Amino acid sequence: MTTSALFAAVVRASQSDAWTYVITGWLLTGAVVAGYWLRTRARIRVGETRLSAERDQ
Amino acid sequence: MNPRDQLLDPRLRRVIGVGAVIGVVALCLFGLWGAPPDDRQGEAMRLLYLHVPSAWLAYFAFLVTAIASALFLWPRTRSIVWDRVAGASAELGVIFTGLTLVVGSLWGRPIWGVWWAWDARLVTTAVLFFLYLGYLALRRIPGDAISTGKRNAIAALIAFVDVPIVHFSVEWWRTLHQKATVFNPELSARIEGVQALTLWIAVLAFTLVYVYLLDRRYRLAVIDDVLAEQALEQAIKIRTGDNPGVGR
Repeated sequence: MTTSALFAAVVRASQSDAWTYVITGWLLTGAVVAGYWLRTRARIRVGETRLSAERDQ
Repeated sequence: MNPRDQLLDPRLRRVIGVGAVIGVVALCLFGLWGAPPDDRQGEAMRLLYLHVPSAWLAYFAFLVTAIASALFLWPRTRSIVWDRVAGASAELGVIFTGLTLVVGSLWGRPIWGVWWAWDARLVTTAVLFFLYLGYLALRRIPGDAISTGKRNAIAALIAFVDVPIVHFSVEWWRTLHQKATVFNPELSARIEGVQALTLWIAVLAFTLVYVYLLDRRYRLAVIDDVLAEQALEQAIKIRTGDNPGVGR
């Protein structure tokens, strides 16, 4: 459902100038928030691995 | 595990995470498809479903930073927990302020005809962004936990002065940016119906995302502190081992 909604939005973006700004804003927001979450999660995993490795020593 | 190592109970965190995902999916459906275009702004209105909640979250995140900083400064409530909460919330606040500025600029181009205007609301928001960027830079300066915590807390409280200035800038000065819309009873064209519902879904989804990310960033701060402490102990051991005279 989300994919079809996004696809419809991308198709409309090519027809209307305002949609270009809308899609850019939505993709940018999604990328920033998802990127921050993934980076934080990866750093937590690396840190927890290091902590458990040092506990095992 | 030390109870201070986690901000939220893991079960509560999972519930908030699932709620955030459902909220974001609902926001995509309503914001890009379900909500009708605005009579005057057209499709560009859909950017406000991101711009408004980003701005709200920026205010909220900096309020949390200010409260946590005040609790750290107060000797009776002083705890490293509050310093970590303040830092984590400020980082998220900077991200949401940055998004507010960029998405607002993307909305401004088709509606105002310009990417940027030297308008009181825009300028004070940009100042807010740089103030807290400076606060995050200040947090990276090393030192003992109490003195750095106090320094960070004072800086956070000073920076927070800009938040009410940003909020009331549209009342105090004549601005291109519109005045308050959602809670403004004097406004003739009020937001209502599916557009209002979409805006509330956006605010709820962004708030859940903020709480989830705050918990994750707090957890990372705990891990970073423990690793830094271990690295320091290790360095002291190596140094005293190399130089038997040191540490006697």
